[in-house]
Amino acid sequence: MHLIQETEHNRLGNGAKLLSVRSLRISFVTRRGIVQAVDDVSFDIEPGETLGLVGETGCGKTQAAMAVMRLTAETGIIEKGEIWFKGVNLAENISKEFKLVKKKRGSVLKRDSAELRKLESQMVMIRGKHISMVFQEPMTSLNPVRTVGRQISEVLLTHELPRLADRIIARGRVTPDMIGGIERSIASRKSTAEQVRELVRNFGIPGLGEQVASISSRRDLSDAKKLQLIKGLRQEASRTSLPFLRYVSANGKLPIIHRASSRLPLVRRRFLGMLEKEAMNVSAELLSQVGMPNIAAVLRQYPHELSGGMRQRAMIAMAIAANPELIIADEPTSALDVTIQAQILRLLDDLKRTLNTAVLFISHDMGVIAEICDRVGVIYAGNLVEMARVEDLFSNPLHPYTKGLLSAIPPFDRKIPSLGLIPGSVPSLINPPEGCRFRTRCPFATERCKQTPPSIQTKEGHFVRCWLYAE
Amino acid sequence: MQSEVIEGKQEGTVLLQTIRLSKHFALKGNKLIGGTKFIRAVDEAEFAIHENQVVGLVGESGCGKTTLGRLILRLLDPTEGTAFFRIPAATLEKYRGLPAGSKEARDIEKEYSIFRLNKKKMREFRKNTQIVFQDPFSSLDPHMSVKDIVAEPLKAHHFNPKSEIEGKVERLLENCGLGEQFLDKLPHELSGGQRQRVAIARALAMSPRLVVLDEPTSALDVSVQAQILNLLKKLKSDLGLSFVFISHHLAVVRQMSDEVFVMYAGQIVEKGQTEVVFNSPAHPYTVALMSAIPIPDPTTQREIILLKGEIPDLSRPPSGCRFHPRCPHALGNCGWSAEEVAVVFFELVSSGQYPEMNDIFLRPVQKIINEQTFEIEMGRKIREGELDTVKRVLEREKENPTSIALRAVKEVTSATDGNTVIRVSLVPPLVPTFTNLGKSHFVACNLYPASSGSYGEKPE
Repeated sequence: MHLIQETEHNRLGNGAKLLSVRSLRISFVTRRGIVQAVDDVSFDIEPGETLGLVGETGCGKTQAAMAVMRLTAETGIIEKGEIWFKGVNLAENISKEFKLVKKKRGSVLKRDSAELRKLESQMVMIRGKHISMVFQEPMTSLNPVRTVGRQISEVLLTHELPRLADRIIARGRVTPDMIGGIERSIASRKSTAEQVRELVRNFGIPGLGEQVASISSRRDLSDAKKLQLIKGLRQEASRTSLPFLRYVSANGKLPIIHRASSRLPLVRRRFLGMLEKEAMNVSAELLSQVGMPNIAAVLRQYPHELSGGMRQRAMIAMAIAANPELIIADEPTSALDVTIQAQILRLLDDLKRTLNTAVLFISHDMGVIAEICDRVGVIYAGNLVEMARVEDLFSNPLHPYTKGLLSAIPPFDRKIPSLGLIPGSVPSLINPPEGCRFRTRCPFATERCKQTPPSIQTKEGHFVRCWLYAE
Repeated sequence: MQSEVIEGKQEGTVLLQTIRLSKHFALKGNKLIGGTKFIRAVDEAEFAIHENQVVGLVGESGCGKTTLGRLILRLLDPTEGTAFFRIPAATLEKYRGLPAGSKEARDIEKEYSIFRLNKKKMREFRKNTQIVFQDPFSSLDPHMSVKDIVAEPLKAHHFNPKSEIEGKVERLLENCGLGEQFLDKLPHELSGGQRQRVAIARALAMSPRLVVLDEPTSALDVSVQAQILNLLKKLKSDLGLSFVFISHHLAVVRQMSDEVFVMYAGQIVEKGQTEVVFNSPAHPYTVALMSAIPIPDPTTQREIILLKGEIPDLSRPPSGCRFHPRCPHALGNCGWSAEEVAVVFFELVSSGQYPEMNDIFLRPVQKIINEQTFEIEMGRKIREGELDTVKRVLEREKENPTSIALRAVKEVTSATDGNTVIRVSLVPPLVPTFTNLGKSHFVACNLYPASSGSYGEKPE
């Protein structure tokens, strides 16, 4: 946690990058050889922006994103590159942890387990808190033996202990006068959500604002019902639990007696149970935010009891639980039907706008990319071949691969005699073609393509890696 | 040309015609309590395939399109209904006129129904029909070489002379774009697209007339998908094949098929020529499905019709039109049950949107009487004017898209016993039947009364 906090204020100025990946190279050691899954991939994400990474199966788009979370599989090595997140290089120690030792019969991967443990403990504080992930298959990525409510609570209990404590304390501190003020503000329909928020902020009670906001922003309730809920907000915390809550709120961790509390299960239940219950409340609010129907029941259900669309909603609720700055969405809608996909895409778009979260969106579906992204990077065989604003990429694709990919999409609005083709198939990444990896399939390939093409900027923000555009 | 084929059903032979084909899968359950449950995967599907025609079956996962595809190949036996293969149009017409179970009808079924064929005719039928599965990674035997995989159907059907099998296999693979360097490879050495080519070559080995393509490109990347689709188009025009193209990908279906059938929850809801259906979709589900497709063009602003809820549980499908709980245009007679309406009604009461309703229903106890009636026990006498208030609120809420179910309310009365019970009765449901909108475009939806074909909000 310290890793990020130290630098949070001084480095993230205006126009700064939230995430900046520089010349990333990831290789996998397999029995057949070393697969260069990602080679020389660089991209930036600004706060609140949606960047799409598009490419075919096995092109390395998922691996590039996994590396940001440091979730690369055991056989994979981040060989080179920098991953700057909010001014911290998450890939700083790669040279220490992973070593490729050459032996007679090939290469052997060696890792320093002590360094790895250190890194893991750092990453745990980043995963979920600062960067969170929505996976493709919500069935395999949710825990099948835990209820949805507990899984969302887990994120909160790991990262948001002070927030939970604040919320409980706030309910005790809020006075009937304050409640009356909020009620009047909501009831007089003139005041906007922003005004209500301002009013609550002036009370100076941390943890109160979000509770009021979560009630007042619900669309499924009438004003009368909302006022009823606001009235019920005031709840005195018991005197014995207040010191405990204050400690948690101030220190962000449990008091020692509770941490080593396995010998005192009653104490543990008494105090931790309070936080767990509050985490459930927040989970319910999160589920309402992602448009889950029948929330009270869903909290107690297991993932297999939910449909695909609902599972993905639960997954997204978990991802936004700790208000991360960046959400990595890895093909979040590929396993869903189009009508459900439309629901989920709309949801992601809404959340992005309300929470101002940056999204790294990975997909193979150009239609989805066109819909949700601000900028797009096209990946082919581990190389980033083109990067542009979404309008520029679709109206004026430059790289021959991008052109081929766009022409191969069957159009929906008309019937055409035959689809565009990219001849051949994706090369093996164990021995990829030298220079431009697309040259074996490229209709414009020349001798020059055997050398690595430079990244050329043809216009503001539009980069292409192709010799065709060099001078 | 295509319209002639459809309009001119009278002439010639119909390659395949299904009659009220249904398949219900039994769920394992306690037979003593509650009886066996059935998943109604396909209900009364009726469609025809003609020579050299591509029929598209579209719908979301679980809508029964794969089950239907397997039924018409007799990979599954139906619960009800039948399917005829290569039946002369005149005979088919005659069969439709005959009462079910009559001797003549049984004779026709014996002759043409794929579920009644004798052993010899069944072999002939198997030669003429083939299937290509969705996942090329699990539909090829990992132990067999490409050569053996493609030769297997030839050997199974005693292809003569044996010496020519090898040459035939090479030609088949050549046709599907695989050179002789692939002959001895094993499936795991091939890419997804190459495997799917092998599966297609295997399906074509016995020169079938009808091939069912069950999501043939869903597991493939776009660029490979384009290759396979172009190959299928070429095969269709070269060999005069008929395809049943099953897919959830509407854009792909539009490129491939001449006629399209839209399925929802086990039923066909709309059918017609591809161009007609895609240019003027009529069923609210088709309209929503088409609006939900992401278009690869960031400059177009399309209006997405977001459907609420999810696909219904097919062991308890909604009554009437199965789409009505999600339909944005549902009418009162679309099949609302008392339970559905009661839920919406009490949500309305408890939302506090109408304080006057809160005053009336302090502690309401609801009781579902039957499919079309529910009662609310008030625990006290109904006061004067209260019924009118309820009626007025309901009338106003009928226009509200979130309480569309209230459109089914026919009348609100006080039940006789002591004036303490309010009874809400509903409009009787009307099961939609196919309405012809012209140009052989059929839709099963109550928005289109049998004679007219007007529907205001057609997209584009």
